Amino acid sequence: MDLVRRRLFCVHTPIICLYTNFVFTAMNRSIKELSFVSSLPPLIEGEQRGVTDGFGLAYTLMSDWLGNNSVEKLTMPWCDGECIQDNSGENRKLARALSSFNSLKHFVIEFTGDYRMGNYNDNTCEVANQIIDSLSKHPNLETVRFTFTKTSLGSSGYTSLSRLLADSKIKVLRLEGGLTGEGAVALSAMLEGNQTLEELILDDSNSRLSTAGCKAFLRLLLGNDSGSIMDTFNSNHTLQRLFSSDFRFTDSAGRWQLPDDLQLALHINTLCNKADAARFKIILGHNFTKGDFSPEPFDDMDLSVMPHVLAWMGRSNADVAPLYRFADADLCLMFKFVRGMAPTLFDSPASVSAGKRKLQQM
Amino acid sequence: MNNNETPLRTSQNFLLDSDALTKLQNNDPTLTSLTVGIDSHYYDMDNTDGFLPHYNDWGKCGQIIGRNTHLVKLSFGQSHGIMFGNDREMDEDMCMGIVSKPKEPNEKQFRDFCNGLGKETVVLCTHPDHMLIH
Repeated sequence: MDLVRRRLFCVHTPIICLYTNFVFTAMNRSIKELSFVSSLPPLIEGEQRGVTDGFGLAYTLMSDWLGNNSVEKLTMPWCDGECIQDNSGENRKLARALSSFNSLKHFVIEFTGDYRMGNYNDNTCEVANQIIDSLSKHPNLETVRFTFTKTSLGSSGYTSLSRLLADSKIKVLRLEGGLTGEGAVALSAMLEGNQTLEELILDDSNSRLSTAGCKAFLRLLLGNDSGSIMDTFNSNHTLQRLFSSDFRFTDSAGRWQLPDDLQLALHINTLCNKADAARFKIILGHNFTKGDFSPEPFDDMDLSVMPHVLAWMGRSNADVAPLYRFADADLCLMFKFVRGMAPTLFDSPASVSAGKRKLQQM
Repeated sequence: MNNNETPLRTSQNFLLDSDALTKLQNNDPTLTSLTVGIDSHYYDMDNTDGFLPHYNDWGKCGQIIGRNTHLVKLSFGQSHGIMFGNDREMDEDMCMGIVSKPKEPNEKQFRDFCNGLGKETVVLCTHPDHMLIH
């Protein structure tokens, strides 16, 4: 009855309604961050079957309230309980309830509970694919973090993660720990078409990027070793970080493990826009700054494209200039390019008039 | 706080700011973060935070939080096995077997809490033809 009375009141007094709307909007948008620092099983009665026990029910119970709030960050713990039993039903419930977080931007699963209670749990639990799948439905999601060594992904988890990276626009994915060499290769493959992920943080004390993993990320960021200019052009120019800034990963001899060219590729993506990053990677990757210029990569190009190539080569970017091995490398590159391309452009390098004719035909 | 409303009772209160509960009930703008349950830092007790609502006051706690307009962060800490409170009965181990059933918050209390939250939920409608329900 009260609702009907209010509705009628609202229809007939739109100005007042707009005013109340403003007031209620302010009231309605308070809590931005919801965090569970401990697992819920003790709070939820009945048989406990796994790490997500309680959260499905908890979020379902809270869904009315959540649906009307704009919670942007959700943190939940992991691995406080057994994770060897099937609790797929609870995972599905949890995944369904997560859809209530209409404004979710940051999703964190972190291992906290037992550590805080001084009782270290040795379980490592898989993050269920249903949970990752449910994250794909959040258009505003920016950060996903599965942290500490107690989190792992199974094959179905990787498949879901692949879908998440394809469907969402997340900028930061933190998978600290539990990443295998195969996992790194799979992740690099997932990122081939991705244009949004800037940080993929893999490090923790147990994490190692295998040789195969390094090669896979090099391919992702620079294209194939023996590939064409277009391979490099179409490589990933978005990913900027693979490890957190304070990470110092060394092997037993204290040597830095991340290959120099992988570091450089990430650094280039950090320094400049995608077009300049592509240009710089092509220049470096195809050895245009070293030794004699080889026109081979341009052999198959139409002559009419050459002026654009020349203009493209001639661009300079103050941000990446320090990465060249010497000053004025841009100009040297231009000189090398023109000199190297002369045989292609002109039938006889000495024949200026022939060159002019050829250029006029373009 | 409504004049007719009784203050929220607690079993355990580790809130570093002892006025936090009063601030919560008064919708004080300076209170922006709250932990329900105990966020216990075993190795750093100075940072242990949170409060455990009285066994019968979880619903009221939910209502108070639901109507608050300044809280930005809401955390849920441990609600079991923290230590003995005023309204909790000792568990078997501590009483050498001479005990009654432990009385700790469980699913009922959490449901009460969520119902309390839901009661105070403000439904947002942007079209003037619709109404806001408080």
